[in-house]
Amino acid sequence: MDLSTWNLEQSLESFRARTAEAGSADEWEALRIEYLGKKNGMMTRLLTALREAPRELKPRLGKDLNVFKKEVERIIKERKPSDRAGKAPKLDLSLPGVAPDLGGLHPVTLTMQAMTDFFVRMGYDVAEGPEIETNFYNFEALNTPAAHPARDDADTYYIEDPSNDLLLRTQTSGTQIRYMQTHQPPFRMVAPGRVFRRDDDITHSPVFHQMEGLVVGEGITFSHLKGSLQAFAAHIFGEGTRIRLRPSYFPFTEPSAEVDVTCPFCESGCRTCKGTTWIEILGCGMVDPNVFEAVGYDPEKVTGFAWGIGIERVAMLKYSIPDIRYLYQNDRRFLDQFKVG
Amino acid sequence: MHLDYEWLASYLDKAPSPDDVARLLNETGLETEREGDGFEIEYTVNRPDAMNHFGVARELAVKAGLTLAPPPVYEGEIPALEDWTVESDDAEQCPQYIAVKVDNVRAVPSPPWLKRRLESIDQTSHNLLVDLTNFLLWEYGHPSHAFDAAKIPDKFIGIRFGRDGERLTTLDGKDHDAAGRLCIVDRQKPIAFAGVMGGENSEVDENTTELVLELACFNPVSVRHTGRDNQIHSDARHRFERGIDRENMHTVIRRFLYLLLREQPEARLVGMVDMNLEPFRREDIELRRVRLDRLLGISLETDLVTDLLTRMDCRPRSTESGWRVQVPGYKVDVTREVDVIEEVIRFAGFARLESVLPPFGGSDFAADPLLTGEHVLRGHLAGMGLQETCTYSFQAEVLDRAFLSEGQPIVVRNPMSIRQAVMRRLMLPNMLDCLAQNLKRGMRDLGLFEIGHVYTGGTEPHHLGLVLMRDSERATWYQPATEHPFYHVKGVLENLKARFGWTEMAFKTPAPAWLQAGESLGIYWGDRLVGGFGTLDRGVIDLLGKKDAFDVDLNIPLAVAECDLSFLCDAAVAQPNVKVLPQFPAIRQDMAFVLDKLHSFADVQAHVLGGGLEFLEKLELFDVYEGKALAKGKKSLGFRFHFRHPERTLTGEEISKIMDSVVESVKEKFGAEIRI
Repeated sequence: MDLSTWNLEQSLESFRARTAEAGSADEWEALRIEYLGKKNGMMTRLLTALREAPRELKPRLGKDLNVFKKEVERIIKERKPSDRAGKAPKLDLSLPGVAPDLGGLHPVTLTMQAMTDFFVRMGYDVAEGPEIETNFYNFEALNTPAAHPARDDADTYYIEDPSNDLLLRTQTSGTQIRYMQTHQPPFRMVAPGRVFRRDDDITHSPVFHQMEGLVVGEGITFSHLKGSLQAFAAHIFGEGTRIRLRPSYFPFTEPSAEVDVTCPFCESGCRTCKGTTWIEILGCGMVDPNVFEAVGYDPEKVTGFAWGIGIERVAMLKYSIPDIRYLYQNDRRFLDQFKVG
Repeated sequence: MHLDYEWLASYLDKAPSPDDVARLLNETGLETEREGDGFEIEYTVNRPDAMNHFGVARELAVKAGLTLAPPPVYEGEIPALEDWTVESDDAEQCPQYIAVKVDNVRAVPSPPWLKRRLESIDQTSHNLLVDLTNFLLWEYGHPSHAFDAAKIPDKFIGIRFGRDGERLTTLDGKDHDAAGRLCIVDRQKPIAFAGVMGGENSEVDENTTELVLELACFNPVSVRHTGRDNQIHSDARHRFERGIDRENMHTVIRRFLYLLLREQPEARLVGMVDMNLEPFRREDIELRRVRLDRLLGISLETDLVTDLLTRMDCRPRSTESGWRVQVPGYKVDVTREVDVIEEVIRFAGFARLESVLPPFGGSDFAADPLLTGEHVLRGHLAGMGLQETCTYSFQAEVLDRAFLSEGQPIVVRNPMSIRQAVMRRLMLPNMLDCLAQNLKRGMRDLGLFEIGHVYTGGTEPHHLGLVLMRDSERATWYQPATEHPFYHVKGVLENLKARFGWTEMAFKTPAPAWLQAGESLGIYWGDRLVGGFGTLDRGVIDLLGKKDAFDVDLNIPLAVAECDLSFLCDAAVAQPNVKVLPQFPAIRQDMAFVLDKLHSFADVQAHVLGGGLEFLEKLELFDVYEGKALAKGKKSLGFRFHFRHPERTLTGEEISKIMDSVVESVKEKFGAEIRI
């Protein structure tokens, strides 16, 4: 090897030209051995020649040879196809990952939690009560005595018991009575829970869930009720949702109102809102003084509002569920759809 | 209830269009939809005043500021009916009873106008006399009844409860027990159920010439009982139950007379008995301005309130504190100040209310540990790949029996089907029903959980149920589905125990009886058995497989768990308490023992730990092997020991010494050998 004619630029040029011809891993390997092979590679031979080069040229040549070696190594490393090419790769990156199954919550729970979370953020306490109730908590304390025709509407399930006093609660309002018996105003609370009515069709289930809200204190007004429900409706059904109150009747509130929300699906009438652009969503009112008297509050001193809403109805609207019975069939193909979101 | 537009409009000077009528009525709280030539209205129970055409017209007049035109009535004298007796001494049952006798009447077909009115609301026309009473009911809301006077002997009408043995055949031809029901009677027998339906024995027919018209007020509770006990639904009953207007009873009588005498001028008004045991009067109600404002949160203008009160016939007078009002008799439900406030805002419109949030008031900020615990639990279980279900609280009795032979479930008195017969005492039966239904539809490989109330009388403990079915064909690319679902359920429970720091929870025998002995463990909280998990008892599986249960064979890779969560109430919420991190490394040693299969993992583990090994920080099981490489009846348990000294690095010699002692001891105790 004659180093006197060796030139870095030319050598690199010629190496690059050779790489252009190399394609397969084998060709590259051959190239690597030709240049970098330990025994008889070009680099080895150049370095051997360097030892015999004139002393004054050694520093420059040494430096250039080093640059040449580094560059050749770099190019081969970068461009030489991996040894594994054509063989099985170490990882099949497309395989599904090793993960636990995707579980999910029931849409009734999802809806209930979304609603509860909202009220908890508004400073409400959460309470629960028994589902087998007495006449007193389900009706009498709620201003609905035995002969009241409102009891016909309730379609109540009764329990076989000697006292003839037990029933499956038709509303979660009984929890409010229990709460008032054990707490003093001011307070704000919600009572989510399971209720029962003898009714079974595409919009009624014999078992369903309700959430009731109760706010009691000095100076609580109907306008506070309206504001609270407006905030709630916007939270659940989306920004821009408006509410409308219509006079109604509940034994335990006076005045009472039904609340409609603007249809979340349309602006000019659709099947869900029966062309009205409004959807009835809950009942509410100012707590009847008789209810306060039943729990020992002074209705001259405190006022309060209460509302009750069906969880399934909200879930059906929110998720476009066509038949309430879907919620209780627990068909996996239905439930699997709630694993997102 | 269907009402006719033209009929309604006949009481108004300027009737709004049908669409406007529907809108206005909805705004006043009558849920109204247009239907045909009229409206379908849904009533809340407090609105008997609007269950008739005049009442709805009155509502419209107030709401829209229209003038109401009351229909013409008979203006002449009504003499006293001398020779007839109306008898009752029970003002509570019948505060007022008016009987009017008219002779020389004929039960002829009704004139076209009357037929048309009744037809417009789907009522059948019978004859003039009966039709007029029906017309009055739909005009003014007052139920009335026409008796054939000739069929009432002794000119006597009484009001009393039916006696034992007394019966009555009503106008619809049905025979009823009359005992204990409030009845209209002659001297011998019932001739009508008060406020519900008349009797056949005193019915007006084509031969009727003398008529007694009844207009009365009956106790709503008694009316309700008669109707409920005899299963009679009638328009009269529904109005009496809700309350009737005592104030205009004479107007209604005069309206009847006007119409009858107009149609049959030859008819002769004989006279009237008005037995009024409890004259109607209403106390004035004080409506305080401060109360009105405090309830509504806005201040309505005084003129507006006064005007509304005037228009709704409340005759307001200004007082220092607000108004004093006299509520008209037709507003049956309006008896208190708060009721008057409702009437004011009902007509003023809820749109006037402001929309503001209540001031922040004190609340109970301590979260209920059970509800909070369950909330976290649900999320955690879903995170472990389980799907939450939501099942009914009741079930067929056969499901209860399949699981629990002891005790009695709570029985539903009026279920709609046998699947609602008893209240659940366990979550699992209905959850397994879900599983069975899914299996029938071809879905397999299910992991379900649910948290809900169970009903055991008195308390309603909250239970967690878990159902885990492993499809035998399930295989992931990384791991064949060989492990029994028992281990999966156990893993879930162990994970919960660790996650929530339930140190008092233990899994041991015995398990509840509905689980298969030898394939299940009880869940204990301290010494208390709170649930169990494992394979279902074979007998339970057999019962569930029967036709009257699921009709599905549950002899499949299935494990279940059920646990009372009441302990969440007193379980301390796990609170991390940080220990200083160790400064010296742990030394790891693996050791596999081959021993007889009879010995459980727990036996060996307990023995090793019982030896009190010096510096042992942790003992893990890393391998279980049974198979060809070992002699029959043998298995290998691979343990991983972690040793650590708090103040220095342990030497190899120290570890060897400890391990030698472990090996010796396990060899001796279990006849184990070291697997190399």
